[in-house]
Amino acid sequence: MSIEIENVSKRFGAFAALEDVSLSVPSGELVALLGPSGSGKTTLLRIIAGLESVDDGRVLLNGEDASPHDARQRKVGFVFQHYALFRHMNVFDNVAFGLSVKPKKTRPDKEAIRSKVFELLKLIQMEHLWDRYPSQLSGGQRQRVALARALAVEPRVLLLDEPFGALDAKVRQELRRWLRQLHDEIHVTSVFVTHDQEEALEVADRIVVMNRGKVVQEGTPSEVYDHPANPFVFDFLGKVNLFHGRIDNGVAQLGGVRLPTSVPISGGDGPAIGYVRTHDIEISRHGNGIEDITAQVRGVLRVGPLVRVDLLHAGGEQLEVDLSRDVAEVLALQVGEQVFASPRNVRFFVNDYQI
Amino acid sequence: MARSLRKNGTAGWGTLPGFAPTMGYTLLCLVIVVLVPLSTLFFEAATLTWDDFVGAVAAPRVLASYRVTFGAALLAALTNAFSGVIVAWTLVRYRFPGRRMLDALVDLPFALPTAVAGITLAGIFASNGWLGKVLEPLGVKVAFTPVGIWLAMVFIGLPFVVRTVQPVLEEFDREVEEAAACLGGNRWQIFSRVVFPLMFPAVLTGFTLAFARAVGEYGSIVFIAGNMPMVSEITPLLIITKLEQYDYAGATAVAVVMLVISFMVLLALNLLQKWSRRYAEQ
Repeated sequence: MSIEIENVSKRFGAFAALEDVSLSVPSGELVALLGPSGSGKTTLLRIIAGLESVDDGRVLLNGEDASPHDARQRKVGFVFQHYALFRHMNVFDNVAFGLSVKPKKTRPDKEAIRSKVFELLKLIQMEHLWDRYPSQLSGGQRQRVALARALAVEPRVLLLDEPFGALDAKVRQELRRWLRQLHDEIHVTSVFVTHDQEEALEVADRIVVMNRGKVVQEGTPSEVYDHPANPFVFDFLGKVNLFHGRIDNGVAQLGGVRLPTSVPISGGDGPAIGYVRTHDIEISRHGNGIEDITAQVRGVLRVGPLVRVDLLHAGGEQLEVDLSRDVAEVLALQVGEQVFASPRNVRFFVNDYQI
Repeated sequence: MARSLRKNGTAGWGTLPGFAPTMGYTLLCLVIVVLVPLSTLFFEAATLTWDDFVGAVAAPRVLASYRVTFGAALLAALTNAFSGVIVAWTLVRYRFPGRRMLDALVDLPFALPTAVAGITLAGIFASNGWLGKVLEPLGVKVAFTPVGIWLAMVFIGLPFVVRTVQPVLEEFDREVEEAAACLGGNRWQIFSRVVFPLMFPAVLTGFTLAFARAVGEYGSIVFIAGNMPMVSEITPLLIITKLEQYDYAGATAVAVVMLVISFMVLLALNLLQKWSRRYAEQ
């Protein structure tokens, strides 16, 4: 079922949580709302669920205005960051809750509830733990129970609020892969909120980047990552270096060095900021040509599979470069030595300075 | 002994000074404050022969007083559990002018000398009192009947339930209610199946405290009860009466029975309490 959000605004006192947000989620997609805390992503999710009212605008579920319906009537599955399990009920009763509160006419009989619950427990691989209480489960297990509980009523839409935010890194990775697989199996329209760009890039069909109550960009993960619409998105998705340079006659200059750009530069001459990802800089001892920047190695640090090199370039700014281990081993950089840095795919933003 | 208890009873070295001093202090307190006074009761009662003892504690008038005391206390604690939950709910869930005043008012029955409460209640509910004037023509007699006993017990017990339920409601995770709503639960289902079970242990604690207080209450009840033997005479009054007649042994015998009944009820409530929290982390 599709979700349409039309010009929604929401204020909490003087704080504008959402300003004129419009968004559409096609049926069956898995969409990530990505943004820093305070960007309004959770508020938007709660508005879709009917847990929060709108000041302006409206939400359409399956083309139908949802405003007259509250959370109970919207048939939306909601998964909370801190699980919100019923801690006085065991796993079975938690999952069965949504079915057992149905009006008598539509409520399945006991046996039907039982088989439905066990079907879901099988899906989350927790059949053998059906009689445990939430306090006896690990964080990852609790969140899976919360998901099964939400799915039990066969919601038209599944909403997840930072579902993996409270889990440790390893479990988080497993669960998000599992969520992706699950979505591929059941195809329920899903929206999940996250501030973890890696999670959004890995799991989602589409990413909606939010900042300060507004949608700043939406697109597929590779669109958003490869073609950030503005400096904020560039900075938020992945690590980035900044060059403070100038544009003269459509050519970007940095301390006399011409920089290659990934897209043609439009707009007038003047100061501009170039953005380049940390893995889009090549380091060499002998220059490649005129697009090299001379720099000094300030530090070399191994971080897992990568080697992080800190450079200070001729323009006086810091550069952070991520090299693969093989490349770093061949180069064998020494702290203090002079090298050439050649950035690829530099993006310039002339007007929008702010991050 | 202490060493083996420490090994089995606690999880190694904590922040507090340690097992020996804290356990020692606890025992000392309980012995001086509770055990010594109560055991003298038993010694005093033991001066009676078995037949005298039974005669003292099982006389029809005494049996009737147990029924009145424990029956009224149970009803009063139930009433308090009900109204205490509503008062706590109102104070926690809603913001309205005068909320703080109302909140402070709840504790007043604690602060008031019980005799004052009794006289006030008797005054109001007597046939010429404010409420008595209205109720009596309707056939409801409160003052000088068992209903008056119940009322006095409700008055002194209310703060217990409110004050035990309030913090639990304040810390209640609203997301749990939201989750229940998203799953299609209506208000009543959310309350009866999610909110109430989670506050039940606190309600039970409040109920237990209110019950214990009501059983032991004397000051406020004697003024409004009428104290008619077999009808509205409470056991504590009977004990006082016996004391005034210099029947120390008889008084303590009745007291011992009261103590044993109270202890058993409280023990049962404690077990129920434990069962109601069986889902909590072990």
